[in-house]
Amino acid sequence: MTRFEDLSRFTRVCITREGGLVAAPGLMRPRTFDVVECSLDEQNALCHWLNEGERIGRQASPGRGDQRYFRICLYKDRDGEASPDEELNVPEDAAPAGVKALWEEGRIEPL
Amino acid sequence: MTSRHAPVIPPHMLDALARHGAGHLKSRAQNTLSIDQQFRQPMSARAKASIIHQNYPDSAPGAPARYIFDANQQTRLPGELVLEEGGEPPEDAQVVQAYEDLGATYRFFHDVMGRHSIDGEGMALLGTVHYGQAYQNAFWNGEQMVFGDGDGEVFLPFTRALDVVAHELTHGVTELTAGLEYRDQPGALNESISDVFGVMVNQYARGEDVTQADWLIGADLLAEGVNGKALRSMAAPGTAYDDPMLGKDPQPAHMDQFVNTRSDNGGVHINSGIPNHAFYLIAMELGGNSWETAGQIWYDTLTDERLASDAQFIDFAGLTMAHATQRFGQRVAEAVMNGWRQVGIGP
Repeated sequence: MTRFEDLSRFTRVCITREGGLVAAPGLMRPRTFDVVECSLDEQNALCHWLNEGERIGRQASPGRGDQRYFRICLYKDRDGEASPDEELNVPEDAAPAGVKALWEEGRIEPL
Repeated sequence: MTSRHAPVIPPHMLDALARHGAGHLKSRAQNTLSIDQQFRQPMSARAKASIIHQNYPDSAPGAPARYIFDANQQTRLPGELVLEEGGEPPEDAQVVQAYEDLGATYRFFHDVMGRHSIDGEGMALLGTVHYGQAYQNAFWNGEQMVFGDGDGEVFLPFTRALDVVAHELTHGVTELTAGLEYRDQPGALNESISDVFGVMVNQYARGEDVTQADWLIGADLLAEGVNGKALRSMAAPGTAYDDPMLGKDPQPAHMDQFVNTRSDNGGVHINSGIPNHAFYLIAMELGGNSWETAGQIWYDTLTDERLASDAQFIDFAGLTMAHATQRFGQRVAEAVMNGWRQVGIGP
């Protein structure tokens, strides 16, 4: 059981692209996915890409030396500004296609 | 229980084969190590860098060994080798700029700080240009420097700015000296050190004293129409840009405005504004050329074995004062202490 196995614990998944030499706030361009509005297939795909991202993120050092990375935050709270309940950093250059699609296109890549 | 990913041949044996093995054994060991890296925990910075650098020999003291590659808008590294030390430059502005800027940075570290390349032992300088498509970044990946072309609307090619090229090369120096962790305050120190040496390389190349310098990072990178003057300002952190595409420069200049965040690896590019501003204040107080006094103190501190990889701002400040006293005496040490105090660090 991974920490992203059961998305029903969360209401929102937010992804930003961070780091880099510039690291300007306007370049983070956050995307938010409402878990409740996702179909079961979409939730399964989201779980898959988060687990893939975690596998990559564990092996690398996201951000080091101005390298950009995706920061994915999962929230139980629907609207608040609370700290994320889970978070994950995935290096941009090694990110799985499904993680890139979340940020670049705002869509969940089907399995 | 053994992990199913545990390598059959231990990495130290592969490393020995890659270094000293005969012919095909050496080549295969190098390939295996390179692939193996992707499936294991990160190696030490020095060990990782040494693998790719087996193909690019160190230089003799006093001269760089530069290798410039073209990624051809792909993201595979290092890319196609298009220029090496002493070769005929192609008609490609980014290739030539990267080559010249790496040379200028090498000369600064060698002539001013007495350091022979990134590792102090003549490590080859590898730089890749035309990385990715409209790529808005430059970085150090533990082995080499990488430069994007920018998108032309917000950012111009990242090789245009000598301070940016020097910033990335300095990440290599920091990684192989203090090894400052890339998070929170040690990460902000890591970023600040790259900015500090970036501006010094620029000032040294232009022959500018502290009053002539603009104290900006990446002033040549922003495209026309962007509401900003640079990526960062050491003289006035937080004022470099305020633009619809970029947002507002978030850097603080004082500990009172320290930003507690988990974003940006704990604000490494944000809170670096504080030690950046301290360096600026100290250099201005001392006058003359930044690299002759303040720069020497910063370099002494960076290469001091007492500087821990998890150093906080206060630890770094304390060592700069010790080195100021040791190298230049009480008057300079007081100027250093005053600079840190003005940003809210120190007694």
